[in-house]
Amino acid sequence: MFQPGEEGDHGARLMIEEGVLDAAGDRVVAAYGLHVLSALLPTGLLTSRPGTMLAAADTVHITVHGRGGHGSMPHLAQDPVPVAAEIVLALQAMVTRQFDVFDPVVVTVGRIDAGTTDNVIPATARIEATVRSFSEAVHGVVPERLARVAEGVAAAHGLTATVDYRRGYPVTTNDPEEVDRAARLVGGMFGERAWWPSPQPLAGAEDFSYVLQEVPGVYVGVGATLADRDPRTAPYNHSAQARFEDGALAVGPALLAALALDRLGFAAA
Amino acid sequence: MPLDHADLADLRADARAQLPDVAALRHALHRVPETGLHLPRTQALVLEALEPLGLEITTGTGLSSVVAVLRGGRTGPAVLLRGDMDALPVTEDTGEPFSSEHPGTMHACGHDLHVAGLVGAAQQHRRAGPAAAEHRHHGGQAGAGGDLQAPRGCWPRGGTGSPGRWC
Repeated sequence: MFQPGEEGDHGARLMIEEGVLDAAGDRVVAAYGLHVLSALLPTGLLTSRPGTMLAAADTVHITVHGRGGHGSMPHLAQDPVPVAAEIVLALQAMVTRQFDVFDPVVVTVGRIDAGTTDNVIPATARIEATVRSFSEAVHGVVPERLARVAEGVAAAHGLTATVDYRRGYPVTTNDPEEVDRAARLVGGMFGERAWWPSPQPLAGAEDFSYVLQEVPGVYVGVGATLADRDPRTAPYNHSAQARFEDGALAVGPALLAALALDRLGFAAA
Repeated sequence: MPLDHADLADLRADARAQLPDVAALRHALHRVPETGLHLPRTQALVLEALEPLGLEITTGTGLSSVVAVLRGGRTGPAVLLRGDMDALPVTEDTGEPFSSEHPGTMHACGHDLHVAGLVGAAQQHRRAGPAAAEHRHHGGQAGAGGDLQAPRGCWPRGGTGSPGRWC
């Protein structure tokens, strides 16, 4: 499965719609994917974990609708700016008061936009946020709760808010048996110390999650820090300075090949 | 039956032996990064690299994907191996000799390694896997030599370029 459009274009979902899971005739029984890391993990180390491996990542755009006016007489207008500010803070309270700290949500308002100058009350204010979650249970209820907060805060002040919630990639979930398989194969090929069982998920997101919703499998992080760099300080993925160690290519293909052969029972008896 | 220690040692050695070729493919991909769903140059490099392997190839219609089916020497279940192909709208600043030739676009997330690695995995299967005998039967070149009468599910040991031995 050679897939375009991972960086936000849902390429994996499109390939599923075009039949990749049944390309060999029957539905595949397992799926495997890797991701190289230019920092965090030294080359030669691999990592994964059972259950949640990566977050779900959604985007929300909130528009607060008021009525513009003169900054000296706000009582004759409906000022959306303090309402937008209150929504930003109320979302942070929502995160801590409505969700289990061990099944958390991250809401980060990365953009807030309203108005043109100091003495004009604008008619609208806009908020844009990224929403990360780590279970499909939470991923499922976040949109409704977030809308309730935004619309409720606006209503409390006599204004309205519209919420445009855009679902991104789902949670990437590993099958525990397939994680065990990967750990065993990595141990057998590269030594037990080459496998690092990750204690927690990463907050990144990945559209291989669509594949893992359909068939069991495992997503494995592959260390690719340059040999002479410190994994704690090397430029990470997406940096213009990110460099990846070619030596990781002596690891990834062998693991993919081994996972397939092992799962299909093609051992040399 | 799970892979045993010798199987895994052979796969590891084979991966090391093919590393220069896989790295060269990675560098070629790195020079021509493309973003989004339509990656014609990347797709062309993938198709060229897969061509000698004699796989069943189909390409996407709504996106420039490549699906390659490698059949083993027996009927049975299939598994899926995935590599993502797209790059990012980033201006490369690494100083690598194989840096991006497309201004404003860079393989900053390492998907060039994913593509090259997936081709490498297919090559490993073609050389060492159960499909090797089937491929030779149809006139292909499978690398390590072997015997068409080998029992299904067995594959040659000894790594790339060695005569191999049969289970």
